[in-house]
Amino acid sequence: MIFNTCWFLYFFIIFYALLWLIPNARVRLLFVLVSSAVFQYHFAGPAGVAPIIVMAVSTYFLARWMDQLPIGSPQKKRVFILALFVPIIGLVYYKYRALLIGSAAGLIGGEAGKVLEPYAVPTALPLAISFFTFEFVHYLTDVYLGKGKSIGNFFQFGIFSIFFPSVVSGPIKRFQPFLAQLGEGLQRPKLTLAALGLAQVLLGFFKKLVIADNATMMIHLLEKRTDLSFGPVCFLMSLLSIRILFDFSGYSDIAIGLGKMIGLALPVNFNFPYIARNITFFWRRWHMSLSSWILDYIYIPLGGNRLGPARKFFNLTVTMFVCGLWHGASWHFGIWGIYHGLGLTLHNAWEKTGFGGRWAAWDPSRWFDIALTNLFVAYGWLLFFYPMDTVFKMTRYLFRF
Amino acid sequence: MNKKDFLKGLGLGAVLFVLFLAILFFSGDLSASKFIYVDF
Repeated sequence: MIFNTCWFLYFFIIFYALLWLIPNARVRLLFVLVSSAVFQYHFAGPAGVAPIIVMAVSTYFLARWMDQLPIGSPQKKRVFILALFVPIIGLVYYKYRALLIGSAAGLIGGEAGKVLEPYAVPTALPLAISFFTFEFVHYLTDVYLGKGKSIGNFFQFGIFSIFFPSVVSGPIKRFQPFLAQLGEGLQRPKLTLAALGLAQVLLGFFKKLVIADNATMMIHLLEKRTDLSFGPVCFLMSLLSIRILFDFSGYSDIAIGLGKMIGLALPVNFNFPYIARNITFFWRRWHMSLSSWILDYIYIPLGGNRLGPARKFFNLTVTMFVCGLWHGASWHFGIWGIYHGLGLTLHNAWEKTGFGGRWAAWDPSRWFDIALTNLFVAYGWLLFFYPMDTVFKMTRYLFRF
Repeated sequence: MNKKDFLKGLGLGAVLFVLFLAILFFSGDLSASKFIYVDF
């Protein structure tokens, strides 16, 4: 929900009219911050807001402290680890506790397992905790590495943390380019940019309400069928591919368009991913703010491709497993991530063979590559959307065994 | 305003109008509409 609710429509109309009427840039910035807090409180409620406030306050003060310590000092490292600990533990507690304890209880079994079971009940998830965590981890890491100064102005830190167009589902912002757009306050948006922003918002709603939601209705009809076979499962995979692309790129268009209307640019999230020639290019075009985040804050710190082929394979698999689990607290998301990790590794190995290089240089191979990449991604959506027993059933229909 | 800007504005207005009409007449089930990535 969120953007496609009447509450949001009324909220934004009133917010936007008032934003244009405010003559002072500083007051305008404060107004956007207060409106973002109202938005967050409305959708998350007091129970959802409290953990986010704890995470934000801890991130703000520990980053300020870290900034005052010399680069490379052991004390700075300790503060950095402590600062990371708060949002990561928050995310694990709220999002993954039930999954981890439930799985442990299942593995242990017997009386000991039964003791754990009451702790495996999921709690209500604070709205957007996954996005908060990723943005705070980025902020803290970049301050620790000296890639940016900590934010001293509490209003600017607030707007980075809870800017309402991007707070719920991204795009995942980087604080340096985002805050560079603010001077002493928030300038009034240019009329042309605001009109383009409105067009992007409408395009996003079109993608979501017309394309993704109609695809969803057809998917639900297919899911009810008991006589599935090769053709309908292929059709289902195509519909899932359409649904998730237009759902999430529609969401991103709405968020980016709203940002433009307000006068703050947000990062691009999708760049025609289904025309990618291989799985590596696919991840450079799909959910780009997430893929660049996992590259910078998981893959490279693990060693990236600097420690030999075996370690690169391990790093890719672990990175994509975390990326998968980030999408939801269920093992099938992790398996979807590993599936993509294996795909990336295989593609990497293929590219290094002489035949792979010659194949890529032959121009007509492009169309075969695009088709193969889409098939790989489409089968992956089965892993993303369904539990493993359903995926096995669908796979049996696909290969007739 | 020159002619080029006017035509650009007109084009954008036409796109907005077509998108609006498409949303109005061809939306899926609005009562069940939910973003996949939200609320997880």
